[in-house]
Formats: sequence, structure tokens, C-alpha cells
Amino acid sequence: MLGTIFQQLLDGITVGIVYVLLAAGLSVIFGVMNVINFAHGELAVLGAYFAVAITIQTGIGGNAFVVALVIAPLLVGVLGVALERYTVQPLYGRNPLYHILLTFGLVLVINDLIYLVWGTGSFRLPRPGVLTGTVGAFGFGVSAYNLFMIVSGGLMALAVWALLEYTRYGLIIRAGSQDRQMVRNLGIEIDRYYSLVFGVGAGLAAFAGIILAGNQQAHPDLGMSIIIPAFVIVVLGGLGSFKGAVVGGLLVGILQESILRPWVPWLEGMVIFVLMIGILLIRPHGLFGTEHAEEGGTERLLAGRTGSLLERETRFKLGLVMIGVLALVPIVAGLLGNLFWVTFGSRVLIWALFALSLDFVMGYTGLVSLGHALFLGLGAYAVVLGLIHVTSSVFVALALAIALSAAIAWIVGFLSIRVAGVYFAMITLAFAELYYNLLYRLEITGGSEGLGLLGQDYYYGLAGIGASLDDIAFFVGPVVLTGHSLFYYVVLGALVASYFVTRRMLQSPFGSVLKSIRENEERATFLGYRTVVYKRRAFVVSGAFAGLAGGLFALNNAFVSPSAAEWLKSGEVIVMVILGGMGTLYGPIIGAGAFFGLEQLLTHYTGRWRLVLGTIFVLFVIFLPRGLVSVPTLLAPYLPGGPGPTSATEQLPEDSSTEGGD
Amino acid sequence: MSTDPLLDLENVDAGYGETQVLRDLSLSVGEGEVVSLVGRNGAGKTTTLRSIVGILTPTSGTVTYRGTDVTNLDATETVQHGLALVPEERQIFPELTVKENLELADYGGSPDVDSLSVGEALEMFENLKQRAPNPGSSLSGGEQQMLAIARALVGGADLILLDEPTEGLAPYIVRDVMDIVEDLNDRGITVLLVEQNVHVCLELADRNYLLNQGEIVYEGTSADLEEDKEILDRYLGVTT
Repeated sequence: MLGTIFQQLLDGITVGIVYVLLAAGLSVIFGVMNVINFAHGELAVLGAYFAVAITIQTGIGGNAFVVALVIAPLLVGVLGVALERYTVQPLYGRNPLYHILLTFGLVLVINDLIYLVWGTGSFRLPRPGVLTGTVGAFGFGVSAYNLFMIVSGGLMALAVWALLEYTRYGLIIRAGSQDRQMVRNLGIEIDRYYSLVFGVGAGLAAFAGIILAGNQQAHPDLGMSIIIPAFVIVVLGGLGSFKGAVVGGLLVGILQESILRPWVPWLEGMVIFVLMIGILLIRPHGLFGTEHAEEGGTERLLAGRTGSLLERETRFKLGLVMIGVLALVPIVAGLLGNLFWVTFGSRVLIWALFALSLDFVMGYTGLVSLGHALFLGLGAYAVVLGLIHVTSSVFVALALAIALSAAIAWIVGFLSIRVAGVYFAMITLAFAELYYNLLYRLEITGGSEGLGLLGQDYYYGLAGIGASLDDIAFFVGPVVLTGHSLFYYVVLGALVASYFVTRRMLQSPFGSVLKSIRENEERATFLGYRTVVYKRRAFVVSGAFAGLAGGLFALNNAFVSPSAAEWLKSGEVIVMVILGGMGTLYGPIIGAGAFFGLEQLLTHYTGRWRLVLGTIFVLFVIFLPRGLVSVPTLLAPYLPGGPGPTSATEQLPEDSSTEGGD
Repeated sequence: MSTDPLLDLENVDAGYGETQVLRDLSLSVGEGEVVSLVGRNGAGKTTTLRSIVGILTPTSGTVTYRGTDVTNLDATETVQHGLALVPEERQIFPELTVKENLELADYGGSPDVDSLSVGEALEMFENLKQRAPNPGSSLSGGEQQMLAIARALVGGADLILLDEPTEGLAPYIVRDVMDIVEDLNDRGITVLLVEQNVHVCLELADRNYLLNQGEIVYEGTSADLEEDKEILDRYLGVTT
């Protein structure tokens, strides 16, 4: 018994030490540079794959393990320096949100590169002979490799700690995480140290990835699965705090591996998110973070917006034309006999609605929800469960989805809007992950299998009056509109209606308050508005529309699985919003179109379309941060009679008459 | 003054974005002087200091230091020339110890060989010496001001720009800070002092500039200014 407990504790520390190394890099990078690095997990996995190349692919095997442990982190460190210099650096001084987008783009790129080079299989790193057996410790037999992980990881963490605490570099980095401008005022070029910090963080992540791959396995999606716990740890410990990363890493490791997995497996994967939410609510700056660390402007900076664009009237006309064109899609597809474009179109429009809902809260109040997939998932499950257990009316099921999402949004908003900026983003992520894990555990949601609507009878109508879309047919010339084609119109109708409703809201006094919050929350408070209440209302509205999108999402697939609520979806929808241009309502719709259009175009040429897509995103973030909607404004100066050229990143004065989502 | 001034601002315009704060501002500070820049809230005092050290770049005009044009240098570079700003909020690194705060200044300071070592700075400020291993956040307002000044000295500053050093301090601490400024001057350090408290200026400064809405409206010695009741009343609302 005692032996088992000891073994479990050791397992916890083993995993914990990997987390410590990952979180330390993430945390220091955030503390010094304000960069939220989503690509950190990918860098860890890249380290593991470099080690695979050095040990397996050279044919040397376990004897090259130590060499790999030295060389691979160095290589990844150099890559980290290059990434900082060429992608992160151009974004300093901009909203940290763009770093999230940038590094999310890098996730897509690095992840696809790994697939491209090493394929879909998993590798277990060969270990040197000396690390394969068991050794005795405190009278128990312990895996030599686990012991090695703990010792080498611990030494690495110790080395980083000593570097931070006792060297000139460390002092400058610690000072930089408290007040960058003052470091500059003392005559130190802090910016020169950023590459170093990023490089060391990347190298550390690679080291963690390698020792982990010797214990578990290296597979291409490992990065996606370790990045979220790493974020939890960073937030738990306090952004920017090395001590926090160490304590948080060990805490989460032991909690997950030593306590939850062996004793209460049902709760595994959920407790850490509950813990994270709880700690953020009690101590918004994490266990060891301080308020000072945040005074560098993280809270204010996260709000983002775009410049003013085309003339109001031109846009309105263009919008009408767009709706007209979209309405023709099923007819043209019918004429061509290719219904693919109808289902594809439905998917795009549903995501457009989802992106619109996010823009309402992100673009207009500056609240960046990193867990918006929560509401997509809620809506999706509400519709499916509603149609299975409660009603056979799709409209009632959709109303349920909207109501449920709005209610949960109110609760999440009530708990999380009191924390601001990055912490808000993280707490929403935590709620989404909590829900995602819950979906796997619950019987009613069908676990990992999900739930299907196949064989369910449902109709579009109310109180028994209505029909299944398959039973309705309209004839437009030679084209029969039924089933999927009609569903397309349902989605289009929902999108257009949602657009006009949100637009109307933004033009109301409520909308003016939201915009004033985005511009300057403090001033809005001085005017007597309880901004927290307004932000929560906006969040509820956003959640409701996201729930509607989720409901349609489930209907379109006639199926729902936990992946509807995965964090990748939350990331993708942010990409769409920014790709299109946030704070405009119509920009995100264009963004969704561009996202899927690109995907469609690229999959024709390459199976690894995310590599290209990710690269395009990265370029967008760097060179066209105001999104696609800013293109006309950028081109205008080059047209005859236009004013002089303006740079893409230049702060264009906001024209209030054209704002408000026309 | 017979010799070239240490610091010379000529026709400086500066501001934030569209907003112009300083208009055609000219002033000079001679080596070894204590010069004050006095004016009401929003007169542009802090903006002047920020323009001198390069946190803000003037839109026109020149800033010359020891005959070198430093107008377009940034804050990191002006430190190397021997300029040091002690900001209003002092901006002590709260989580670094007092000693580390000083060491950091040493790393970044000018290559000037005359600059104070960390040890010498601690000797100079008895309070700081006692608190050397404590974090910056544990210092009182007056001690923070001392640390900020000590940091400038360790960084090798020849000209220290003090932004409202007595702001928010208890009256008896204000006295301490004034003593420190006098002590600095005795050591040959030149001081440009920004203050709202005209009494502090009159006591410490050799010369005073009065700033109003971004323009210099008066220049004179403390003795002259003290006599000029009309100026004091009109621009500072002070009746002495």
C-alpha cells in the first residue's frame, strides 16, 4: 500500500517537473515581454521530435539520448530566438491579443510541419541502458527513468532559478517583468534581452518535451494537450512568477497523477480548472503574482479595435448585395448539381454567426474570451439533447440552446468579469475546458462518442405545426430546394437576423456604453455607469448568439461530440474575428468566409493546409492587423484622387459616424 | 552665464499625438546649478523632463547636453551621456531588493568613472543601507525617493532631473528630501527640479523658470521671484 502511494507520488512529481519546465518559460516570457505564447507546447514537442531524429532516425538509439538532450534544446532555442526576432518582435507595442493570434498561427504551422516531417505515428524515445531498469529508493523499487526525469528536470529548474536570481541577465529580466520602461530609463536596452528570454524558454520547453517523450510518447498532438495545463499552472502560480511556475507545476502534477488519476479518475482533468477558477476569483493575480507585475499595462492593452472603413452607405449596399449573392448559393449549386457548396455554405455561415457573437463582446467591450467554444458546445448539446429528450420542435430546441447559453454566460460572466485582461481570457478558457472535460465524463452527453440525431424525428415549426425540411420542397426553375438547401436558408436567416439585432443593440444607448468601455473604461465609470454590469450583459448577449450558432452547428452535422467545445475552436473563432477585422460585426463574417475559403482552396493542393493557413495568419497579424475590412482603406490612397498612403499599422482616427457595425 | 550651459533647450515643441504640450520652449541649466521648473498642474513640466531624457521626442527644436545634440536619443541612450530622470512615481522595482535596484542602475549607467558604486551609495544613504536586503515595495515614500536618487547617482548621472520629489511626502520628510538635494548639489551634481511647491523651489533653486500652458513665462533667481508678488499670484496663485 505504502509502496503504491510512494509510486503514485513519484509519478506526480515526474509529470509535475515537466510542467514546471514548461510553465517557467511561459511565465517568464509573459512577465518580461507580455507575450502569451500558445506555441510553447509545439516547441516542446518539436524538441522531442528532434530527439527522435537524433536517436531513432540516425539508428544510434538510446546511446544518443544524452546527446539529443543537449542538442535538441539548443536547436529549439535557436529557433525560439529566430521566432522572437522575426515574428514576435514586430508586434511589440501592440495589443497582446495579437500575440495570442500570432502564436496560435505558429501552432498551426509548427504542428503541420511535424506531421509533414514525422508523419502521424507516435514515437517512444529510446533510453540509454542505464535508465531502463528500476533502482531502489527508500526501500521501494523505482523506475530509473522517472528518477532521472525528476533529477534532471529539477537541476534544470534550479539552473534557471540561479540564472534569474544571481546573474546580471537574471536581474535585468526580473526588473523587466516589473517595469520595462524604467529599465530603459536606467540605460539598459531591455529589448535586446527578449530574444534571449524567448530562446531560453523555448530550449527549456524542448528539454521538457524530450524527457516526457522518453516516459510517454512523442506524437504530433502532444503540444496541444500539454499547453493548456501549462497555462493553468502559469495562471495559478501568477503570470510572470518563476516561483509560481514551480509550485503550480508540482501541485498540478501531483494532484493529477498522484491523487485524481488513481483515486478519483472521474474528476481527472476537471479539478485543475475548478482550482484555477477558484484561485483566480480569490487571488486574481495567482498564488505568487503581484499587482505590480500587471501594471505594465496588460489589462488596458487587451482591448482592440479596427479603423474606420468604407462609407456607411457603400457598406450597406455591399451588404445587401452580399446577402443576395449568398441567397443564390443553393440555387446555383442545384443548377450545377453539386450540393457540396450548400453544406459548405451552411458551415461557413454558422461559423460566421459564431464569430459575430464573439466580436460583440471582444470587439465592443474589449473582453477577450478564450473559451467561446463553451457556448458553441452548450448550444450544440442543448439542441441535440433537447430534440432527443424534450421536444421535437427545432425552434423550441434552438430557443433552449439560446436560453441555456445565455444563462451559463451570465454565471460565467458574473464570476469572471471581475478579473480583467489576460486573467479574464484565462478564466473563460478554464470554464470551456471544464465543460469540455465534463462532456467526456457524463453519460447523458454520450462521452467521447458524442450524440447523433440520426433516426430522430424533428420538425421546423411550433406546437406540432411544421414539417421536416426533407418533407418541404420549393421549385426554382429546374432546381428543387429541400433538406440541406432549406437548412442553408434557415442559417442565412439566423445570421442576417442576428447581425441586425446586434447592430441595433450597438446603436442603442446600451451600445454607446459598451463602446465607451472599450475606449476608456475608467471614464465610463466616472460617467456613472457600472461597467461590470454592462460588460456582463454584453457577455450574455454574446453567449446567447454563440449558443444559437452551436445549435445550428449540431443540426448541420446531425451530430455533436465534445470537440465542439475544444479550445482549438475558441482559437479558430478568434482567428476569424481578427482576420476579418474586429469591432465591426461584419468583419468577422468576412473573416469566417476567408478562413473556410482558404481551407477549401488549400486542401485541393495539399493535405497540410494548416501550414499554409497558419503562415498566412502570421503574415496577416504582422502586416494587416486591422483585418480584411481594412483593405479598402489601405488601397484608397493609391486610387486616383485619394490621399497619401498610410501604413497598415498606423493608428487611424476613429470616425464615430461610421462606427457601430453598419 | 559666461560658459556654455550644461543643458540647453532651444525652441522645443513636444506633445502626445495630436496634442501639443510644449510651445517653443527654451531653457538652460549651467553646470553645478540647481534650476527649478515651476508651474501648475498640466503646465508641461513633466513633459519637458520627458522630452529632455528622450522618453518623448520633441517635434521640433533641439536639446543639447555638454554640446552634444541629444534631441533624438531615446531614454536608454541619454543615460549614457549622464542624464538621469527620477520620475514622479519614483518607479522603484517593488520585487527587487534595495541593493538589486541599485545594481541594476550600475549595469545600465553611463561609463563615467566618477559614478558612485553601489556600496558608496549605500554608505551615503544610511536608511537604504539598513534596508539593503529588503524588497523595494517595503520602503516608505521618502525612502523610495532616496533610492530613486541613489539609483541615478550609481548610474553615473551628472544632471539629475527630479520630477516632483516632495509629492505626497509628509512635511518632515520633505525637509529630508530637500537636504538630499542640497547635498547632491554640494557634490557637484547639477539638478533640474520640477515642483508645484514654490516654497521648495525658492529655497533650493539658484534660478527658476515658470511654465504656463507649455510656455516659459518667467525666468529669474529665487530672490527675484520671491519679490515678484504679481507673477507668483498670477501663475501660481501664491501669496507670500
